[in-house]
Amino acid sequence: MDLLSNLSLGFSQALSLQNLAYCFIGALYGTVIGVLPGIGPVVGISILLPITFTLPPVSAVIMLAGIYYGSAYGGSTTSILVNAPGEASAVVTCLDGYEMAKQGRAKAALATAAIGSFFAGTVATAAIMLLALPIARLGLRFTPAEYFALLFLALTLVGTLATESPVKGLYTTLIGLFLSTVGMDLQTGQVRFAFGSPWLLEGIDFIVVAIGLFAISEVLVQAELIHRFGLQKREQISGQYWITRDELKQSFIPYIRGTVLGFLVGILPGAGSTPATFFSYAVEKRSSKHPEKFGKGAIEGVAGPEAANNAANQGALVPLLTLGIPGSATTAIMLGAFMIYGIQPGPLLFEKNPDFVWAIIASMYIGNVILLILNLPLVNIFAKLLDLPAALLYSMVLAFCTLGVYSMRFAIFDVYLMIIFGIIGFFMKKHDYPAAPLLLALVLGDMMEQGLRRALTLSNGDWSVFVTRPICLVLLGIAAVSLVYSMSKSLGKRGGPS
Amino acid sequence: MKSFDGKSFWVFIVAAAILSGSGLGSPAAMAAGEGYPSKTVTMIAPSKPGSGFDTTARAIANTLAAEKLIPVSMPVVNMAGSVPGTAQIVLRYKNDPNMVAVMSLTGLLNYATGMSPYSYKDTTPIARLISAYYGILVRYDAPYKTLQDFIRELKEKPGETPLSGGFSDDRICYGALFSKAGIDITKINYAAFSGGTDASGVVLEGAAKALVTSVDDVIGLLEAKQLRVLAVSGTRRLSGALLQDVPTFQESGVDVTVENFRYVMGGPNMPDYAVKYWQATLAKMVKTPTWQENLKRYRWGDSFMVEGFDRFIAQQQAMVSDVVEKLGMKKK
Repeated sequence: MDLLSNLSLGFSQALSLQNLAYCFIGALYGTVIGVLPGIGPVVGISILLPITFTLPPVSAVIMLAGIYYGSAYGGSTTSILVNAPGEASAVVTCLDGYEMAKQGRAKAALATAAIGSFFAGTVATAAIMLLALPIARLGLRFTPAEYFALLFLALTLVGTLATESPVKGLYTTLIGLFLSTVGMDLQTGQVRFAFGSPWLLEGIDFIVVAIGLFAISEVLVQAELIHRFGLQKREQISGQYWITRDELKQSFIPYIRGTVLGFLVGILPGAGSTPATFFSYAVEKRSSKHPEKFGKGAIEGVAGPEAANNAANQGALVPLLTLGIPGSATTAIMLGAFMIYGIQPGPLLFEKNPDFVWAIIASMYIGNVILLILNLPLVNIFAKLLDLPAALLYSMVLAFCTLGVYSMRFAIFDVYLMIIFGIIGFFMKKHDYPAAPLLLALVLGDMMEQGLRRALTLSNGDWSVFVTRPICLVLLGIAAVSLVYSMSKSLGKRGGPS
Repeated sequence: MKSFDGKSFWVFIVAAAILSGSGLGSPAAMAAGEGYPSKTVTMIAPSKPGSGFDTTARAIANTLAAEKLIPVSMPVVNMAGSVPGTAQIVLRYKNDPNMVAVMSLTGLLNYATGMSPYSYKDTTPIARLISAYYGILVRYDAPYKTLQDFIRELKEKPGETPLSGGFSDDRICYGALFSKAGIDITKINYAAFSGGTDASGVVLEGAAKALVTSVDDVIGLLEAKQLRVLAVSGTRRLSGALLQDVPTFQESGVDVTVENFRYVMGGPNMPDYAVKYWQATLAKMVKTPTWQENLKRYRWGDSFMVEGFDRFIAQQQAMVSDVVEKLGMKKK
């Protein structure tokens, strides 16, 4: 069978000693950045990126993918033991996970999180395998008009789903869209908004913006927290058994529901894993016989969202690999990495580099096994990371970020830009303006604009291309509905008692 | 005893600082570059890792090392793209024998559009190394049989005969070709993509009528009989079963040749001995089996040229500037 031969091709590459080693390094490093609060996969991957340039592309991407899904494992550890999420998508896990730890059931919480992550990670990888080719084939028929519509939908969803407040999300989306217009315009060959600076000719590098908005701002936030509250103490890893048969039974249905839900939300361009975890928690609470136990240490409240988180992460790889469209801040960074290695994700990737794609898919099965081992029996080691003095940790982050940004093209300009975006990011965090839509708009904005203009060039200026093509019409329709719905909801909220 | 007065000491220090600052090294090495190269020679790839410039630069450095053609090491340094890259090369490496870089037709385009203030004359071109040739490609089942068929349709209905291709040097090809064929090229609808592979999608789908790009970029689509080449841009036909029967633009009745050539250059006023050294060394390099392997692996066409390269590049700059003018791409 086609699928099996492809997969065995992938495994034959992924199982080479070198690639296994990179898979392990990725998983290990991913767990570490997942555990460390404030340092998520965006920061982790951006910092490591310049070092990976010299690796063979397959090994480099296997490692980056390992970091990507590995961080989703590590994030829950911090949620459970410190009540501070290791990353945004582990916020929900705090609710019941930390309660369980306080009740002396930390081991069970960690175990259900790790097993749920493993279950979802593995099942979702299988789902990628089944779905990727058909979607890539569909993608082959996409013209610039469809790409424009899809990207428009993605940005609408990012803006409206990323936060509680769609208005704030859309603000930052628009800022990102503006930033994306800086640099040379492909259609005319003219440079826009560069103000004569040679560093801006190719646009604002989104990795610089990502490190600024996500890492530098987090360092500032942590500095403030430490200054005001001192260090947080963590709970000990308590409990006699890792997990009892009953607890596993209770977790099983949430695993399945979380996986399906997470994967579907993850595939949606722009949604990402954080909303998936919120949805899953809501679903578990609603379908539970004891909804009152939620928030007081219900194991389902950990199992469902953790599965959803990992499944959504994997799901987000589907549009990235098949259409070349990243759905989250992290996959946007991955897209940048792919391009640096000379690999263009998209419908043609499966035809041009099948060995590459399938090696990565195969490596994800292996990586999930490695991660289960790292995060269950060895979780003690990673928990010790939380005892690291924060001052030391964050000054290291600062040093690595500066080094990473500078080494990309040896431009001190980029370092200044990073610091500026760090300060902007700090204030955005303080006022609850989400950074992810800004970053995604910066990455996708250019693609969207080019799609629009290519479509109009090819149609000789006729706007009807966007409504006469069925896929296009459907995508734009969904975007319009979600925009109107979320706006009316948020305006309704402000409008007074309802 | 006064063997050392303070004043001459400072003169010496300043002179040494100027000399080392300008990269000339010790005065001894100045004498016609005896013993050159004795220091590390930097190879600059003015683009991101993984780009065409980067691949070329690394292939050169690796071949020189593998074939033991140079006695010094040659680290590859990436710079942020051809425009800032050229600026840094011009400003930092005046008179410097210890830096070489790769550049291409894109560099001439940057100057022509006004994106870069520096022309090839501000650097020291050393040798042409490799070339890629463009093709006018259509969908395999398209009605056009020859380049003239396509030109006829483009003349009649420029609005409904859109083209696609890369955003950079591919424009030079269609601009040069179709303006020579007597078409007002500002009327042509050209959808620019980041590269030829990307641009092929709209041709396969039917939204664009022809693709203009380096033939090598889409060889897979030719093999798969999804695309067909109407004509190629070189002075001679290309080799290989797929391409040997495809006529050139000239054979198709339009007297134009275009090629995307990559060349090696030094900084402004690179010393003569260094230029000579690299011309000789590269001439040796292109004959080595390691280099031949690279040519095959990356599908590069060998177009090594030292003799007459300065004339060639001047001609190319004039052609590119003319096309840019006609396309209306000059920066205002």
